[in-house]
Amino acid sequence: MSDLQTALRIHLSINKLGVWLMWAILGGILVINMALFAIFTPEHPSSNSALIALPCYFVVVASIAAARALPLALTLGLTRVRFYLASLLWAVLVGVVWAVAAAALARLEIATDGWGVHLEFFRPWGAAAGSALETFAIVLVALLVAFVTGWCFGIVHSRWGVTGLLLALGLVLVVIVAVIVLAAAPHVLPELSRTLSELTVTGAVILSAVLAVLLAVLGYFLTRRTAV
Amino acid sequence: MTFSTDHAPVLSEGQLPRSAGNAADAADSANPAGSVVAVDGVTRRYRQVIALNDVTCHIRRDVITGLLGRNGSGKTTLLRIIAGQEFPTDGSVTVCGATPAENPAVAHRLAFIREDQCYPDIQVQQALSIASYAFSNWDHDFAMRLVTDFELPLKRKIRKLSRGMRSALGIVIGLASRAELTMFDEPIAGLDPVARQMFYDHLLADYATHPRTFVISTHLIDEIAGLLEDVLLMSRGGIAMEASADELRGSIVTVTGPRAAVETFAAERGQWHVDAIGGHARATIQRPLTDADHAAAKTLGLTVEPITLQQFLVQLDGANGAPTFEAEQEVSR
Repeated sequence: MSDLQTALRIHLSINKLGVWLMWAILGGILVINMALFAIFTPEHPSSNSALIALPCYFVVVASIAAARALPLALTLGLTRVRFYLASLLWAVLVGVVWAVAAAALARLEIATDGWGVHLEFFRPWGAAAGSALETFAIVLVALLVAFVTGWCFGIVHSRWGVTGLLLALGLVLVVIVAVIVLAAAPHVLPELSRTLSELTVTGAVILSAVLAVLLAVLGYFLTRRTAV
Repeated sequence: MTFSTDHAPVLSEGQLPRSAGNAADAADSANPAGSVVAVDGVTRRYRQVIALNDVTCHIRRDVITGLLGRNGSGKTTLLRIIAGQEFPTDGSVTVCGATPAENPAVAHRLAFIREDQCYPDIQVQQALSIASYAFSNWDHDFAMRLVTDFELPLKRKIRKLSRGMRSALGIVIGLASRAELTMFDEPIAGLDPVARQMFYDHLLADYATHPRTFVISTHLIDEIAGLLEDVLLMSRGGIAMEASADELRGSIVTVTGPRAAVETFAAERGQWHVDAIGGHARATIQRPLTDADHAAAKTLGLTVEPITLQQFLVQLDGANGAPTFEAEQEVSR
């Protein structure tokens, strides 16, 4: 329990401001969007994918936790694995709160006809407008994938420096491009291409959840042998 | 006293005041309960660089041990391995009878404050608050007293602290943690003389009331020598000497005077190292001198002086190839 408290305390201290600042920034962007939508009234409601800022923030938070908070945690008598697991727990807790908030705001958005200006600010990519469950699932899974990805980047940087980080980023880029190419080129691997192009929201969420678990396992093995 | 022959090529085992194989050491190794840390044949390689080479040593429980040596001698690597923050390439380490790496039972008993301690972007008071959760024996009042004495600004971000203040923060966390094994790596780096003295005073006072094991790594040897009960002297990735500070203080002397007289006198008394310039020489003798020895030295017109730990380290590394006298140096063989 003490380890968990210490680890959570570290995360709360690091992100004391950031957790709220992120939503304050989103609020600011929402106000600007509302003003723009009020001036240039669109014919159909549209989403601006502003929620992508949340997983981006999680990538940064996780990288910092792995690179800078982990050494402090070890100094304070935690083990790598315990701090990692506690960090995952923190990510899940914050992720759930944020996803619930996003889902509630998405519902409110629909109820107010897009804040009165046909704006779908809180509808993540792929989710049906006003679907609280889809919004919740997409936001939560995106946050978890972002956190474990960021953690892995942070650990890779600690273990192998900038070269390792660049190689890891290059590898991720290659995988993303490969998936896009496979999805867009049905003659290469028809089955996979069809699966990817016909992926439903539920399928995408499940696939992302599996990816998050795989990355979490990778993070575990990378963290176990990290020298700080 | 254990003295590595790798680093003192002129001494045979029989000449040592307390050799690696003597009864006291045998008793220590047979009594692991007396040691809180046991390092056995630890080697750490970083590609071509050997940071630690077959290091074997023990750290006694409830004793202040100094881990001394030059920059790059392997002190930090050894401490990191003991703390479980680094992994040995070869050999084993036990802390309180268990392997330290990824062992919560060991980690909870240990505080390791590094010179390059990495902190996230938090304030001093947040760091102390986190530390208070981490250490079961944390003494808040003591921590606040130290904060006041070191004039640490609680509200300031750690990244905005000067080097000395960061060292002071590490000292506050290390001392107030009251961890069973507290290890400081270069704790006084960047501290002004007043703050350094404050650290020594607080360390000794708290150690007196709450005895526990301290390991302090530094290359500012003379300043800290008075605190130490045991000494581990590191040189070039190895343990050059393992001794109690009292033993060491009395057992190593330098004899200076006319070259011929010094050489004659030292050769008969277990000379370890001789520096000579022209007709003048200085010999280091690693053996307590008797009254008869002192009388003989006086007769020969020689000056006998105890050697400081720092001088000893300088000579130790000089004996391994780095000349202490540029003009002329002779290391007896």
